[in-house]
Amino acid sequence: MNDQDSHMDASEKLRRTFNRRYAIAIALLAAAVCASFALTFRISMLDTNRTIAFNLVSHQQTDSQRIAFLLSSLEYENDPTTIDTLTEELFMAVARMRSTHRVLIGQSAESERIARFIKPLQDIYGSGDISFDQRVNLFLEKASMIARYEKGTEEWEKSRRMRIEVIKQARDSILQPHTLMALILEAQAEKMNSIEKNLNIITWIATLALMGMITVLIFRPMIRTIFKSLREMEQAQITATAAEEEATKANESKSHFFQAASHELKTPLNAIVGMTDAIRDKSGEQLEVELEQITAASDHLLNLLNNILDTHRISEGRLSLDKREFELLEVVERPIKRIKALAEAKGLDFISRIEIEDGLMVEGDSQRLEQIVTNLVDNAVKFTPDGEVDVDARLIENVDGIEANFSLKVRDTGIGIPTEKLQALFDQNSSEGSMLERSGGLGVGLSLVRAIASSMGGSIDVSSSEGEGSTFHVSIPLHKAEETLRAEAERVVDHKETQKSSVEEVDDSEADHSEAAEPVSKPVRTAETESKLRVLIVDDNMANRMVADALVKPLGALTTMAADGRQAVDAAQEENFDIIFMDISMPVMDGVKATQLIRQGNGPNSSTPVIALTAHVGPGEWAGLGEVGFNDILNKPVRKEVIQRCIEKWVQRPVSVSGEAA
Amino acid sequence: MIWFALISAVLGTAPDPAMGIYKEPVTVEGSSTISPYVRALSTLIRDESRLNVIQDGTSSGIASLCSGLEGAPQIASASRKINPRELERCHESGISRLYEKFIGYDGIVIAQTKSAPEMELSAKDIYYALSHQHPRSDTDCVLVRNTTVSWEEVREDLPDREIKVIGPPRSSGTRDVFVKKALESGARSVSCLATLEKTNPVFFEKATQLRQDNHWIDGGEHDEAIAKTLHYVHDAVGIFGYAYLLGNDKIEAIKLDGVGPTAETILDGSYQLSRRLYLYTTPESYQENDGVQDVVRAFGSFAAVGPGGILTSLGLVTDQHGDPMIQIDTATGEMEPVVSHDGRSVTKHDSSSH
Repeated sequence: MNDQDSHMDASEKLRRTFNRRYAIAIALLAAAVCASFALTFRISMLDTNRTIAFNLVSHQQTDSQRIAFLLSSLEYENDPTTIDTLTEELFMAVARMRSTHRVLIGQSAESERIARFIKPLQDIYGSGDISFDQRVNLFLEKASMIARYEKGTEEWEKSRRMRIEVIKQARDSILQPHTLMALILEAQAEKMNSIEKNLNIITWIATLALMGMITVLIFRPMIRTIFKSLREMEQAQITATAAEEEATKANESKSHFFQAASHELKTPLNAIVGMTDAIRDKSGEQLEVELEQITAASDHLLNLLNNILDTHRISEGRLSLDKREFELLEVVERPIKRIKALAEAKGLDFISRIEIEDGLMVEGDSQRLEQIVTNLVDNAVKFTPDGEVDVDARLIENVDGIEANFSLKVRDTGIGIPTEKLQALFDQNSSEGSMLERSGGLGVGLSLVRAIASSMGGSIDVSSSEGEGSTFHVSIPLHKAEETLRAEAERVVDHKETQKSSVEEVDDSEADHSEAAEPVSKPVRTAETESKLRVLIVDDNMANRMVADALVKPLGALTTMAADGRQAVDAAQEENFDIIFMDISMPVMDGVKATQLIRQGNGPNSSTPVIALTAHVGPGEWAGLGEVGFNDILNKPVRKEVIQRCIEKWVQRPVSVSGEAA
Repeated sequence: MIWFALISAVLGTAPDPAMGIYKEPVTVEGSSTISPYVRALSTLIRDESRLNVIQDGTSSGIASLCSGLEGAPQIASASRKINPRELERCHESGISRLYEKFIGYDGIVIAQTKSAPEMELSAKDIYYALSHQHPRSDTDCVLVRNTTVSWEEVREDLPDREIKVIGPPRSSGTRDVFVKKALESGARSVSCLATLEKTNPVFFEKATQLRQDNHWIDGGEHDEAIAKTLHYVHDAVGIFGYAYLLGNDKIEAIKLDGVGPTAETILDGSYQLSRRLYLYTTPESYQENDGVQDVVRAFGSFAAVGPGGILTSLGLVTDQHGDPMIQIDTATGEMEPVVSHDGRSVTKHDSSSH
């Protein structure tokens, strides 16, 4: 929900940014256009006004010449009508020239508009001892005076010299300074033109620069953001598609898994059921083969379930390894022996070399190591129709004698693996393998092997050629449990000394208890061991209770059963046991609570070894149980030899030794 | 009053209140170069209210003087010597003699605005730029119409700038002198024309006429207006009297054949475009009109042409040696110094108290 909100916030922010940037860009462009228009408008206004000024000056030139022409014409004209017309025209020309003059010297309302253009003309109007302005006025005065004289009168005759003077002035000294004015206006127009040209270029460059700026600073970031969003959308789409595919595949593989699992799991179950029937039929007869097959089928089933569980754990990223001592040879030998039987039944030559010292204890996760061996060897047998399977297992000790490398080579003459598939072989995410294939049911389960090996710090490699067979090699570093070995060796030599050294390692309360209990329990236990071993079996499932009972009975044990935690606590109050096997998940009271109660106070079993016997916890989840008072843990289904070794370990040795496990 | 007394002392005449000062008005018409000098001197004459100055060019002034009409000026101011044709007209109008008074030298300057790139011209450049027609080459004197439009076409190292010369109009003595001293001198540096000047003067005159297209602009009889136009028209070159160069700090003179116009170069003649300025009047006017005498004398006075004098500071160049007034016979053109009543020639010295 928060994610969605933040997405919407981001989108809204983006929209706002876009709107703002877009508005700025439009505003800038509009401003540029307005500025450009204003400039053009202003320039055109100036041009118009300059033209007006220029025209006025031209009119003065024309009218000055016109006056000269009219006066000259009057000199020679005798027709009264024409004289009247000429005189009329002369008046008009003088009036026109006078009014224009007023504009040009800045004394008319019209002057304001063209003020900037007529300003330099004032230099000409002001020049001379008698200024040109005055001379023009004088000239116009004289011209209009002449116009008023009637031709033929005395005053007309007297004004002859004046007339000549005025005509001459009209042609030269009045006309020519106006020519200079036109020249000035022309020069200024040229200057203005070049300024306009530059302004236009500047405007053009500025507009281009502005557009460039808008592009770089506004549009480009916008486009970049859009592209980024598109990329993100594409990515999201790809991810969604992939997720959809993944989900579909997961669904498919789940259904495939259920199909295959039902088939795969049925196989060993079938063997168990079948063999059990066979045993019932052959009661009293020799049951060696059948029992062997039941055991093999059970182991197979167990391995399958382990594979499935671990594959699931790996896929969820929560595979954790156990770290306990175990006997290496046994863990390696057991699956090899079992599969050897299968291989031989299949008609394969099964060669195995195991170079591991008998009784060598190492630290680590025995179940996972067994899984690795089982999977690799099982695979080899499964994919080898005929020929041979060669297994070579050994422990290569390092120089320090403590660290060692467990090496397992499995070579077969089976179908082999195509080169192009070799790479994908260990890939857990490979689409080649369904979930069950990865679990080792139908296929190789190699990704599980690799995952386990690498989480143990080891490695796996494979060489294969199609049709000729494959060779798998696993190498896993192991830590030898030397202390235990030494302690065992010393126990043989000097039992008493071992006890003492062990006591030193336990905490004070337990040590006190041991010392206090020793004089009483030791003789009793010895006496009882010679007669009966007392075992409390706690499990809510009757079948499981019976299995446990059946497994400890051959060791000469005297068993007490409890169906839940409450019963177990009660039983523990009444009787002193040598060992207690405690289920975890039970009605009324669970195993954890029961063990805590048994450990509390000074009851007869407060220091009796309590072994968790459960299918609920896997390897690596032991730590929590150790803390509440369990001494060890056995996983269901439990094997006869395992339970025997456990009893040997906990009953024949002082309880305090288990401090390491806790 | 002190100033008035001083002037009276300078002129050697005393005002006569009973006379109403002058019987007739004094009109000085002609050269635009001389007109400002006349106006400047108005403070040195007794009744400046009766002084008229008409500035319409040397030719107009002389023509008016020689017209003999009523209202003709008493004095014609001329920036060149009167020519035979004008004398002839005078004679035709019944004026048999003229008095000529040399008043000083003036330079004709070729100037441009200071903001234009500097330029230096030779008389030959001016000839090729401004003649109406010019020979095809230095050795081939077939005349062709002048079509040059930029100074660069005249001479390669001159700037690429339109030929735009604002000069005095046809009526102006300045123009006549400019044509004579610049154009004709330039023409003489073309070898074939130099020969033709002697063998065929009419052809030479034809070859030394000013061009009439829009590369020469008549600026009117207003030197100051031409000078001020240069402030605004930066590519133009102006031609006017030396006086208008002084006191105008926006324009500068263009050197002619390496010599610029100064009082010294004008006086010693090393600056080619120098000319003599004259006043012309009739003996009758001079003798009958006190005002005419006052004006003529004022030009020779110490207050006018002495160091720091009124005319000197306006740009009139004089050698300060009094030249005698000359009488010209309009019929023959013969000249002789005017002798005063006491038998001495009329000079500024004998007409002033100095």
